[in-house]
Amino acid sequence: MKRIKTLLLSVIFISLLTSCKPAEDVFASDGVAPEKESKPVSEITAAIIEGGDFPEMTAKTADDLEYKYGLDADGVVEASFYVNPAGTNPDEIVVLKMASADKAAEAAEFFEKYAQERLKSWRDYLPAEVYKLENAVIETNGDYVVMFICGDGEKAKEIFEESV
Amino acid sequence: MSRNNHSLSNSKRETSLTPAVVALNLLIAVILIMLGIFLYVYMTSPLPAQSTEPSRGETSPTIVASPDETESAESEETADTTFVPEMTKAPLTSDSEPGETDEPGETGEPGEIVEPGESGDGSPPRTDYEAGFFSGTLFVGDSIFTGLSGYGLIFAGNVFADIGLSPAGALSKTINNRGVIETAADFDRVVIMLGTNGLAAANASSISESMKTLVNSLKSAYPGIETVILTVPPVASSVSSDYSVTIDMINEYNSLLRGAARETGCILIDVSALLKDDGGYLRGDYAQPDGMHLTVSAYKALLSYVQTELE
Repeated sequence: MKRIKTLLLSVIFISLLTSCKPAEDVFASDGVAPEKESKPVSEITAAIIEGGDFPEMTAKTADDLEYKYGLDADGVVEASFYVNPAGTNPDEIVVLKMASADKAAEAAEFFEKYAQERLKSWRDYLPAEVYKLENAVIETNGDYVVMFICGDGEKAKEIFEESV
Repeated sequence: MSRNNHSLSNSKRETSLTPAVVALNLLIAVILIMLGIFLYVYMTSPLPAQSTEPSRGETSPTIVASPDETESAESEETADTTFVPEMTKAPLTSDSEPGETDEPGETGEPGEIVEPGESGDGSPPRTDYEAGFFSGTLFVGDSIFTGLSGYGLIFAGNVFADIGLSPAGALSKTINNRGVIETAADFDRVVIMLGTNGLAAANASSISESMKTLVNSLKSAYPGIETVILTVPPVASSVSSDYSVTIDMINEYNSLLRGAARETGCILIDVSALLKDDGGYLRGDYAQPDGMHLTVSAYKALLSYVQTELE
């Protein structure tokens, strides 16, 4: 009997050692798996630029948002965007993290109007580049809003979705 | 007899419930219950996502910030090079060496035409402009002037410019819901470089008249404002015959701007001459591949020259 009890205790302790999860996982507040961490928006836009075929582009920050787009910086948590600086191409890559999904939706509406205005200007100025504006990708993803005016907006979108 | 007694003793030991035995059994029961709880939680909680090692740092772009572009002005980037110049808010200062100390150029007076070389000693154009010098200046222009803020050379709030803008269009244009007259209220000087786009659709004379209208509108709204007109840049020889705007049209327009400046009491600075090569076309190192827009070194030379003449 003693041997049986000893053996049973041994089995129990071994089972405990092999079946326990780390405390933080077992006692997670809601039992939900931890979220995948998103990259900073500056890294996302840089990855898009690096991964695509772009003309000369310069990086801009939240400080330039208001002057470039007239977009109120209130509600913008993180901002990164690239533009063609020389005035020779309409390419723009914008990734904003907003304070909420509602703010992101508002910003997306803003960018839709912006892209339409730019389309009118570029149609008269350089028609060969107009397709980039006609195929502009403007979308939201949770708190994120993006605008991709470039030769391959779908590729930019793919890189973005892999990063958030 | 003894064997039976031994057997009886053994059976007694096997069946007696001593406190130690009871405690041990209770312990085993507690452990079994805890094990059961752990197994239940483990089986019912979702599986953790496949964790991927953060790739931060591994995808750091090869784009390199080059804050000190002045030193590399001679080996200028082309449109195929992706770069990220550092941008800081105004006042900006270019990180150039002290360089040569130019004698102060003659101060431009209203109605005066200032040409390159009048105040210099024939040495290469300066590129060490001070962005802070232009903190009270509004630059009004077309796609060429968008490069001032695009490249981070001038604070974006000091630039009222857009693609396709002409002198006539500038009066009706709004940027961020503000027209040029409204925007100019925040400044004590306006520097205007417009006309190239207009030449594609109208003759030099009518564009020059539109420029006078623009300047007079600004002076009427703000009598004390300083107005400066810049001649428009030349185009490269490789594209002059292809574009609807040729070098001859540009030269004709620039000559008419002299009269417009005199009539409206503006300073006129002939930056076109600064940007030309020996053949009278846009210098190769100042030209984007399209032969019309400017490189960073061109902008720096332009701004430095304007600063020199206005100081």
